[in-house]
Amino acid sequence: MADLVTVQLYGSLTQFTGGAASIDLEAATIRDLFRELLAQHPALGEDLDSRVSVSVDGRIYTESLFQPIAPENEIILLPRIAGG
Amino acid sequence: MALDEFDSESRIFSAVGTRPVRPDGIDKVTGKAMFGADISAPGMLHGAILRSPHAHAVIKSIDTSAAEALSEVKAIVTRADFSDKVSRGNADVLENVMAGAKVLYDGHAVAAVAATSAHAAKKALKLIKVEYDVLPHVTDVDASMQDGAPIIRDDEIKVEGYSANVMSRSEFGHGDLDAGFAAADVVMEKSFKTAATHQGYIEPHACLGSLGADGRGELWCCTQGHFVARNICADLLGIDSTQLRVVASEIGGGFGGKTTVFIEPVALALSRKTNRPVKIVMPRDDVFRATGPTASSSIDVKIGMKNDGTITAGQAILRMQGGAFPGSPVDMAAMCAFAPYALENVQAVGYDVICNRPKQAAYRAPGSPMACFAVESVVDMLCNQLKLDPFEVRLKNGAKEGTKASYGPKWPRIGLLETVEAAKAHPMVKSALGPNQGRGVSCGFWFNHGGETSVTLSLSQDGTVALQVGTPDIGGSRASMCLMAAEELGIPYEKIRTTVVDTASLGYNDVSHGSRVTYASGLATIKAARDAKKKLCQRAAKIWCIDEEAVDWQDGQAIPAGQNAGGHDPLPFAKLCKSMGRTGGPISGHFEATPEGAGVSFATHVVDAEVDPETGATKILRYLVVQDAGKAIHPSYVEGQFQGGAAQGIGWALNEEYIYGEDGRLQNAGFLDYRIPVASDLPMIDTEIVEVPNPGHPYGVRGVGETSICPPLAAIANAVSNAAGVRLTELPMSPPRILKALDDA
Repeated sequence: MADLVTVQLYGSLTQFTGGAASIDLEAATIRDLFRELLAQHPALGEDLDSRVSVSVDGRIYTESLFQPIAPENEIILLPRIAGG
Repeated sequence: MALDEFDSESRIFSAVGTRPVRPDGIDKVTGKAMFGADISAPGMLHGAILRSPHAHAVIKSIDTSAAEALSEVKAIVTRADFSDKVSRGNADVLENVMAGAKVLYDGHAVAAVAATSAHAAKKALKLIKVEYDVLPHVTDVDASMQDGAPIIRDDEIKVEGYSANVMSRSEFGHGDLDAGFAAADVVMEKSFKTAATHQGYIEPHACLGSLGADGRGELWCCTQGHFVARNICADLLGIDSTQLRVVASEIGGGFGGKTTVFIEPVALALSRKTNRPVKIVMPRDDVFRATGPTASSSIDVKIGMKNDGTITAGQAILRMQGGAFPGSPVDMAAMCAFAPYALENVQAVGYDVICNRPKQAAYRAPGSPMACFAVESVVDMLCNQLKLDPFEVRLKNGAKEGTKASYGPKWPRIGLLETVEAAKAHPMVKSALGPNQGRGVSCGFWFNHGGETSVTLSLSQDGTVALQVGTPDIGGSRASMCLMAAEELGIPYEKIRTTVVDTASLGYNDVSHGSRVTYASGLATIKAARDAKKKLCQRAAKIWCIDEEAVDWQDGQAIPAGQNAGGHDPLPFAKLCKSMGRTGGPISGHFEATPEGAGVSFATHVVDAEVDPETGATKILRYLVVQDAGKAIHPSYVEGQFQGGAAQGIGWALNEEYIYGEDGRLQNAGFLDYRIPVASDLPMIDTEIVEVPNPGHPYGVRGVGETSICPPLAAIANAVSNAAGVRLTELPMSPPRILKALDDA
């Protein structure tokens, strides 16, 4: 069983989580995080992982489903970072 | 992949940091380089696209019979000639490439012709009869949000309190705004507007497509990402992506505007119908009317400050329209707005709005320059009112490692304060200002990006290297890749040739965007070179009959290492290459991954400007860019990126704007009426490179291509406002607008 991590959501995502901006869930990787988030809040949508980036201790991950995460990490879902 | 890639701050570089001649330079200055429009093929047809004259209308019918009757016309396509099973992510791309039931902006494509000559294709367009039912339109972001605005896509309300044209609302921030503003000695509020501006690339979009009825094809085009162009085109045409081979031409500027497709699927659809290659070159007015400018914006900012310069709270409400499709960069803008500041109480709210304008495309640090303009203008107003030094206020409140970003995360190692200190110490800041002259300061921020990346590095028997990358060279990256490969292998820069290869020759690569190429393709090049070095050491071990662990690579040669390795003469790179066929076969190094360690970048700009109170004209007297590059691989091209961002920012701030008439039609679709800066508008733009290493890259590289356009709008607005003695809040600060501001003051 994975440890409990806390994920913070940016503003526009909270409309799909009943207003919750901070959610505790069991996850050992970013993939687990997406799975658990969708299980708890299906309104976030199946394509959530393609719409967001995940900041782990200030480092922004866009494609790394297997990146480990742990309770001591600061985890924040952000809009997907792109550029010009 | 692992994040802490950085080798060491004490590493001494031999190739990296030097300034050799760029390998593509001679071809470009002699006209030998092949750009999009230079590609032709036997039997080629010429394509042309019919575009809507209306900002918003239902297409009742399209009659192509008269055009088809012309002997020179070989095919006509409409929306019916594209796939009806396009993925959800590309649905808006298809809608933009070729209108379906409605046209959504002046210039929206409705049909296309392939004919035996460009003249015949143009003639045929005039014979296509389109019957429209014209609808009300809206082109202003604030007007589009209001109840009663013409509804552009569907009438479902997505954000309570606004029209159905508001597609989403996002919010970032933390702390207690009310408490923060209550603690301030001064609270300043101001509203700002910025016009939509085009990336202004000199090369129009151009392509040559060839697609058979069997779904196999070739596409040559100017693009920032030929793998992405391949995938989108395949989706829009209903073919397998790998059956389409895409070759990227040289590119005459992109700046984000060539990260998607406009004409490429059309050329391929026409080709599939005629079984002949079809070439399309966009006329300049089509480039303005139908390719993506950046968003226009309307922004309110409120900042509280103590008398000593401490910022107690900051709030920004940002509204951006991204044309007739959702996806304006307002999220990014909201995240960047207060990024240079460490604030306890901060909020940024963004509204994504649609209008009857062309679909916006990325433009260098999308959204950040506008947000920066509004926030840094208010910071400047507070500095003026409280008589505070603008550098000291930024140093006092500046973001640094460990402080919480306004968009959430704690900052890793960043170089903002170093750029402020360097700017403050620069000789330009000591220049005296004369009458009607003013100085402006601004900081700016951009994220940067990694992305999917593949590189192959192949050794040749003569001791040279063919480096294959899949990221189009939009800013001198071939030179940078050669330098990084030379550094790793310990061979001369001239012994390496970097080629941007086609989509059939290498694994997938994301677009050249997000300031990612020197970071991600650079990291991949270093890793591929290390892979090749490992194989070279294995060969040396075989030759010497020792363990491979007993071989080191040093200064371009394999050397025995350790007491038990024996006393062998070093084996140079060229010697190992020469014998590789007989010692185990050809040697190549590879790297395929998605690097995620892109380092964010900050900059500080300082501008001295003079305003003529009689004409309203602005002259930029001096301009300084200081930016954190992490590690400058080829300093000349880093400086070039700094200068390029500043030059585009000068145009954006002073003159460039999309002007729409009451009829919803674009009135200035050409460089005569859409005024980008020319050489005589620009001073020598001074640059200073700060190097605070990014721990996510072996050499510490941070992307530099976008951050340089974040501060200019604000820095110039602050300089102009200080010169004119009146605050300018709307861009561009064209002479009529400055005169009006002076009159109103």
